[in-house]
Amino acid sequence: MNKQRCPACGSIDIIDEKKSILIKEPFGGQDNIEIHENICSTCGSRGDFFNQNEPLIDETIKKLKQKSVENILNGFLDNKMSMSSIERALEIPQRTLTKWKNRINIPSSAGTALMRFIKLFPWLLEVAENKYDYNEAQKIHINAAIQKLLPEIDFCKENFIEAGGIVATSRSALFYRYYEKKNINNQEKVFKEVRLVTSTE
Amino acid sequence: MSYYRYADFKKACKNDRDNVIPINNVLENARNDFNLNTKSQLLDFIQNDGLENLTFVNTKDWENNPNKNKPIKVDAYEFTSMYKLGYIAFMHNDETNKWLIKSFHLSGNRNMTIYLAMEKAGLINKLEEKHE
Repeated sequence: MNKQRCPACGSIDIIDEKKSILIKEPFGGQDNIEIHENICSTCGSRGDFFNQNEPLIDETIKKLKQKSVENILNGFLDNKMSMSSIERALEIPQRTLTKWKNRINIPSSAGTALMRFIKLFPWLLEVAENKYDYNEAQKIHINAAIQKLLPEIDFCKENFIEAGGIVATSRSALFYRYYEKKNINNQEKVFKEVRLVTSTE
Repeated sequence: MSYYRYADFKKACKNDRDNVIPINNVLENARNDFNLNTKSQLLDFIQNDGLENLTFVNTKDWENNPNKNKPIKVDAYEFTSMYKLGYIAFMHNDETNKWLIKSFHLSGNRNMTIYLAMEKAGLINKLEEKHE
């Protein structure tokens, strides 16, 4: 008789228990599943000794990834971004995203990763629109970063010697301010900073 | 010096996968720390040279071995993968003919963690340039 043995110590004294685990996927939510856990009473080793859990875990991850892509695509639609324009910008075949959303096709791992990046950094679409030109990409990236930074910058500083400049891009103008801050007695220069200001108009 | 040949372990991850078993918290940590969700993904990663800059740490006896007359050795290594510093420990039981992955998680080696963070921030090269 082929008895199941502990792979670590060889004991046949194994208990099979059920254990609940939480599987999470970015933008796809989470799911609680029950898996087998084998516990060796002799050496205390635990685990899936007989490869029973993998199909269930795989299936759950697949489902959550699908949900993740659907949620992202629904978010695009809510923000009035058309599927066809995203497909055009990314140079992927028309209706690819719709097929993913409607579960006609399953997105590949690379496709899922791409959707997640676009969700987090929508400006990547603008980079694609500019044919991945390095300089344009840098400007778009910096512009996006500055838009995030602007609300955090305090412009009401005093005691600084000011200089400035402008870097114009295709869609925006970047102004920079450079100043040397002085200490409390208005005598010594303490340090220098560069501030970037942007206007999309 | 390591007790096992790492190449043998790696080979088993490729060709003898039923005889490589992650135990204890290995799969949970692989999932949480390295985005490796299943045993297959973990073994694919190992056999595909995913453990970079592999550095041998030590060999110890398996503490929970119920048969103290037949000690089983555990080899431990540190490795890097992108910006992460990891730790793996594995052993082989000749009796069951199984490889056991006993640990697989982020390394607690703080010095290395700081080094990697500094390297990522581009500070290592600057420091090295200064010292040249």
